[in-house]
Amino acid sequence: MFPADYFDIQARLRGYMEGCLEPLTEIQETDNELIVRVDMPCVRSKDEITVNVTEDTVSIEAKMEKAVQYERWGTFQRGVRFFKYSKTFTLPTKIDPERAKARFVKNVLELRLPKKGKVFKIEIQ
Amino acid sequence: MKPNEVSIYELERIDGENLSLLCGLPDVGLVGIISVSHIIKELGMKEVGYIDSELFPPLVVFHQGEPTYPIRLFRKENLLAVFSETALPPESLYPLTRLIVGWSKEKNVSMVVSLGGIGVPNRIDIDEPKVYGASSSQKLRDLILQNGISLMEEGFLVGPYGLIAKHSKSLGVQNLILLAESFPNYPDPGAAASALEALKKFVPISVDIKSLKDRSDEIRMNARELMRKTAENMQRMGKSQEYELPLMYV
Repeated sequence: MFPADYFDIQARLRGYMEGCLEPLTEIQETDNELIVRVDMPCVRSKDEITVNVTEDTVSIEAKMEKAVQYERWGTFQRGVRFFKYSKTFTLPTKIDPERAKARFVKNVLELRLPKKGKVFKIEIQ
Repeated sequence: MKPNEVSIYELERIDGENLSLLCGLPDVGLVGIISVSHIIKELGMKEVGYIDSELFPPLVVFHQGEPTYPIRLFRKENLLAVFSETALPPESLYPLTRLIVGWSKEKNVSMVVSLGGIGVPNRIDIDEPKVYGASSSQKLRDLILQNGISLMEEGFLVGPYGLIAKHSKSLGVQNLILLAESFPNYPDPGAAASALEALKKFVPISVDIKSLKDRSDEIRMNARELMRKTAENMQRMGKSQEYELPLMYV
């Protein structure tokens, strides 16, 4: 029997061996939009980041300024070099990709993704 | 060691006058972990003990080939520090914090300092994170204001530092809490730097804060996995309650 997070660990290890890190990510939901924030230390400018957005997915890739090397990473004692971040995830609700905005400040990528569908204000009688 | 018990082990006798204890436990933005780890490194503090329990994750940390306990005690002169290298399950927090405060009382520690973060959604737009102070003692609350630090007057504090404050109040131990505005779920060396600036107004330590800022990328990379696990635990312990208004004000 595999532990519950076995496949997650395996996927992460494969990523490590390919020099790829999954960035820490948080999603905040407001009435009108989803705000996605992605932590990407060692990425120098917005020009190094590619963001692809559909109605319900976000895919991010970013190159690090220089490869970050660890002599021994974790318990498996292998040297690893990271040179990019990569993450694809499904959004909790549909958004309008054409109105999406992004900025990169303090090595944090912030995406503002307006929710799809019209919001009607109703008059209270 | 009994099940569900947390114990402290001194590698050498710890006593002295006017001791202060700094707590670096995993919480918002790992502010306490980052700042206390920086102090330990900068001051060359000596390992003088460790804390263990069956409630902690079943692991040991290897450093330079030697197995070490993930929660350790450090000392330099009259400054003590407790520092955790692992995320702490919510069920371990009550006995752990009760032990830390009870031990501090036994050792006549004059002040237990909790260094932490307050998660703010607009952290991305803040260049110099503001620090808020709180304390179980009126004397320290006055000192917080005299030192130009805003007092945290209302609100919930969930997690290890909330429990340290609670036990300190019960046992009559002076507890100073310094919380810097921080990214909630990302390691935040900038917030740790602000917390350290504030700490210097209460504890005379000579620590270079610029080097902490200079190592920001490295720290953020190294602390990722601890942050990931801490964020999971914060969710389990109901950290979101910090964004609610206490019911007294309905």
